[in-house]
Amino acid sequence: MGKGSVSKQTRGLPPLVRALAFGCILLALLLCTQEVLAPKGGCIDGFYAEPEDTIDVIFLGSSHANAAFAPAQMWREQGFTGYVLYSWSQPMWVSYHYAVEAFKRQTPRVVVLEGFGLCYGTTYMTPADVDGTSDDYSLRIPLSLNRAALAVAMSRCQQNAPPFYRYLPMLRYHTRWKRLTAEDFTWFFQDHATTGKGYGPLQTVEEFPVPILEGEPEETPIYPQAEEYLYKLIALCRKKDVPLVFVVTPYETSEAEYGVFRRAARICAENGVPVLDYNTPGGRDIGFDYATDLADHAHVNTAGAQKISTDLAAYLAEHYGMPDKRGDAAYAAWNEAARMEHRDAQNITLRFTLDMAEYFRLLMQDKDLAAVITTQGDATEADPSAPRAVFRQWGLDTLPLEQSGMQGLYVVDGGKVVYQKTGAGPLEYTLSWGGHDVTLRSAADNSSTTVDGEEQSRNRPGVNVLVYDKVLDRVIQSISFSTLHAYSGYTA
Amino acid sequence: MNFVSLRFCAFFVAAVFVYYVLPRRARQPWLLACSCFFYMCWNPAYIVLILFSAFSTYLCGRALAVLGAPAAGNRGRRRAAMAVSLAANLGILFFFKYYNFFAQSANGLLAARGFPAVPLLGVLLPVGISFYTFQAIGYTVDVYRGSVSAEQRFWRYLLFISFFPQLVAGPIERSGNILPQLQLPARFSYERAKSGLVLMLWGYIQKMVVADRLALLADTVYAQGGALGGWATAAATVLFCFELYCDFSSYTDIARGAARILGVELMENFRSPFLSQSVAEFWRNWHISLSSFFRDYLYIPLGGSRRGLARTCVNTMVVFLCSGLWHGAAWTFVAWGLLHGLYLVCGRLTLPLRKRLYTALRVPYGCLPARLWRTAWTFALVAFSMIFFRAGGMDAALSMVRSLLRPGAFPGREAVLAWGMDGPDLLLSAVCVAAVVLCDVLRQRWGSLSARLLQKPLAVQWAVLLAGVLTVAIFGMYGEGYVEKPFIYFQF
Repeated sequence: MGKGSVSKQTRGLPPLVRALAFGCILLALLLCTQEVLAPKGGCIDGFYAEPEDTIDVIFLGSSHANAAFAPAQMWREQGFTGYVLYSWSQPMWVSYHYAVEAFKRQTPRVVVLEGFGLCYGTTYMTPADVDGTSDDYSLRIPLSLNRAALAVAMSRCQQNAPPFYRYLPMLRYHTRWKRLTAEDFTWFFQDHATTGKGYGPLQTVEEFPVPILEGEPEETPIYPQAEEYLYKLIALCRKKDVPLVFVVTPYETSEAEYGVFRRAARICAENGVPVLDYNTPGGRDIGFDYATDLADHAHVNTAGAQKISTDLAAYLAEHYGMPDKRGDAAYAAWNEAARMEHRDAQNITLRFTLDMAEYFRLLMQDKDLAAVITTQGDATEADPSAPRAVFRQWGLDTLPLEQSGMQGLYVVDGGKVVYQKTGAGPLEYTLSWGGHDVTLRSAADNSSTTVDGEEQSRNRPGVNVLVYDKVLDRVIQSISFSTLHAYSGYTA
Repeated sequence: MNFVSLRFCAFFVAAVFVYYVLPRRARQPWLLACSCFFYMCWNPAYIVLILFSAFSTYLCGRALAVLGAPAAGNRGRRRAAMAVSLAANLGILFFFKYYNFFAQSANGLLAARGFPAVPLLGVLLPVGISFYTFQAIGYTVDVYRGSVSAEQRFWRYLLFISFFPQLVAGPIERSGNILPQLQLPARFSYERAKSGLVLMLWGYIQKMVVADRLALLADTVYAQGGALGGWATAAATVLFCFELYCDFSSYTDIARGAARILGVELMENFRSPFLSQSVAEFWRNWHISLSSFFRDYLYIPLGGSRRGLARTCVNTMVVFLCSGLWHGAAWTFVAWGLLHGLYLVCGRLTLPLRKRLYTALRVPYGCLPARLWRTAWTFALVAFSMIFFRAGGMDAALSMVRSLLRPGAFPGREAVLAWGMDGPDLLLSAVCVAAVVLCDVLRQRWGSLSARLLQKPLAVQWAVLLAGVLTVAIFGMYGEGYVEKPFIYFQF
C-alpha cells in the first residue's frame, strides 16, 4: 500500500479521541477474554464471592493452612466467620499482598498467619517449586495496583526472578482456548461462594514419630525478602489496627525450619504478635497425635485439623472478643455452609474407601446417599465370590456375578434398592435425581451413566457405581469395582 | 531484540514517541541511535561491522561523486572505487558467512589427499549481514551507474543501511527509494500511523498465529528425518512452505508497518507467491527485494536474456546458485538454488512444447482449470525444493525425499496426532492455511487488503482490527512454556 493509498481523513471524532476509544474497547475485550480463558475455582474466587465486611478472621498461609484451618467448624463451635486465603507454599510476599487484597473487601477482627512461607529456601520444597506454584491463584486477583505490586514482588523476591509481565494471565493461560467449557463463559454470572471457605480436608493418615528436640534450636536466618515481608505484614496489620496471630501447624520439621520459626517467634514477640506453635515440642498442647493426625509429612489430616481449629477458634474467641453470629439471620448462609461442609466431611470416609464390602456398607447405611450401579462385560471374569456376597447382603440381584454374559442395572436410595433389572442386556433405565436427568445403561461392551447428558461412568468391566448426595445435590463419586482390578475400587 | 516480544513493543513505542516529540532536525539522529541500539541488542561488537561496511561504502560513493560522470578518462578509477566497496562488503560477508563453509568443504578434499586442514574460524554469523551488505552493494552500483547521487552525509547513509525496521531481515532496500525519504523527516499522520499499525497487526497474526503454529508439525517431522513416513513428509513440507511464507512475510509486514509509522515507505516483498502459475512468476512474487536485486545487479550485468538461449540458461543457473548461497552456507541451499534454476531453465525450454500441448488438447491456456493446474504444479515444484531448504543436511534431505517415494498406507488419526500437533492445533492450522490462501486470492483481485479495509466505515475497521488483536491474544503462540521462535530469515 503506497502513501497515496492511505484513506482520506475520517470525519467526525478527533484522531486522539478515536484512538483512546479504540484502546478502551480493546482493553475491555481483552479483560473479558482473559476472564474467559483463566482457570477458575481457586480460593481467591471463593473469597471474592463472600459479601463485603462479613469475614471476621482472615487466615493466610500455604497448603498447611489450607489443611489445618476449618472456618465452618469454627463457625459451628464459636460462631464467627473466617476464610483461608491460601496458595500452595505461599511465600510471605504473597501472604502480604493477599492481606492487602483482603482488607479491601473485609474488615476482619484478626489476621492469622500460618508461617510455613517463612521457610522459603530452607525447606523440603525448592524455591523453584515454590515459585512455580505460589502464584497459581494470584492471577485471579482483579487488575489493581495491589495486583501489579504483587507481580513486581513475585518478580523481585523469587529466586528464579521471572520478569513481572510474565504474571499477565493472558500470557500464561491463553492456550486454554483448546479446553474451554460452557462454565468458562457463564462463570462471571454465577455465585462462587464455597462451603469450605478455603479449607481443604485431607483424609489420609500417615504415621510419624513424635518429634524430639535436643535443647533449643538455633535461630536460622530467614530468606531476606521473606523476613522483609513479615515486617511489612506486621506493619500493615498495625496500620489497619487489626491484631495479627502467628501460627505454626504440625509437620515433619527439619532442624533448620525449627530455627526459622524460632527466629520468627522472636520477631513476633518484639512486635507484640502472639505465637501459637502447634508444631514445636513443648508448644501449644492440643493432644495432637503424630500417629493419627497427619495426612503426610507436610499436612495435618481432618483429625488434626479438627483439633487445631477447635483450639484456635477458642483462643481467638477468648482473646479477641469474636462475635457469635450464629443467630444472626444475615449469616444464615453460614449455617447452611457449615451444614454442607459438615456433610461433605462425612462423605470423605466413603470417598477414600476402596474395599467393596466396606464401600457398600457405608453407601447403604447413609440415608442421604443414592447410587446407580451398572455392569459391563463379563463380571465373572475375575473371582466374583466376594462381590456376590456384597450384592447378596444388600439385596441386589447377583445374576451378573453368577452367569457369564449377564448384565444388571440397579438404583439404590437411602439404603434401599428402588430399582433393579438383570438379563442378557443391553439394559437401559432413566431416572431423576433432584431435577437432574440420569440415564444408565449396562451392556457387554459398554456401561454408561449420564447426568444431564454428561458421561460420568468409569465404564470398566465389572461393577461401576455413581454416588449422589441428596443434601449436597451433586454426584460425589464415580468408582469402578472392576474385574481388571480384582474388584478393588478404582476412581481414576 | 525479536519483533515478537514485549521488549520490542516497548522499544518501538518509545522510539516513535520520542521521534515525533523531538524537533525535526533531531529526529533522524534519534532514529540512527535507535537503530544502533536495536542492532546492538544482539551483539554489541558487531555494530563495528555495520560501521565498517557503511564507512567504506560511503567513502567509495563520495569518491565516485568526486570522480564525476562516466567518461573515457575516469572509467578505470570509477571501477576501482566501486570495486573497493564491493570487496569490502563481499569480504565481510565471505569472512563471516562463507569462510567456514568453504574451508570445511575444502578440508574434505584436502584430507583425502593427505594435506593439512585449513583452520576454521570461531565466529558467529552476524544478524542481518546478508541484508545490509547487499543493500550497500546496491547503493554502490547505483551511484556508479549514476542512477542515484552519492549521499553527502555519512550519518544519513548509515541510517539508510541500519534503519532498524528492515535491518536484520529486509526488505533489501534500494537507495533510490529510501535516501530521498530520509532527506526530510515526515510529520506525524494519524492515518499513516493507523495504516502502519494495521500492517504490523497482520504481520503479528501471520507470525504468531500461523507460522509458529505450523512449525510445530514441520519441526517434529523434519527432526525425525523421514522416519514418520511419506505422508508426514508431504504434510510437513506443505506446512513448511506456508510457515516460511508467513514467517518471512510477517517480518516484512511488521517492518513495513513500523517504517510507515516513522514516515518511511519500504518496498513490497511478497505478492501472493503461492498463486503463481510458473516458477518464474513465483520468483517475481517471492522475496521480491532479493529476486529483483539479483535481476538488476547480477542477471542483467551478465547479459540477461539478450545473448541467446544457452547464455540465458547459464545466467539463470548462476543467479540461482548465488541465491541459494545467499540463503545459507550449506550444500542444501546450493541444491535448493540450483533446483530453482533448473525449474526455470526447463520452464523456458519446454514453454513452446507446453503451449502446443494446450492447443492439441483444445484447452484454452487461460481457462480456470488450466490456471488451477499450473498453480498446483508450481506449488508442488516449489514445495519439493523446500525439502532441501528445511532439512538439516543433504543426507536428511535425501532421506525425506526417499520417504516421499514410499508413502505407505494413508495415516489414521492416531498417527497424525504423533506429528507434533494436537487435534485443536491441527484444525486451527487448516483454517489458517485456508485463510492465508483466501487472503492471497483477495489480494490478487483487490490489491492491498489493508488499504481496502481503511476505506471502510469506522465500525467495520474497528471490528476487523479488534478481531485481529484478539486472534493474536488467544491463538498466538507465546507465553508460559513457549520458547519464542526467531524469524527464519534472521539466520540469513
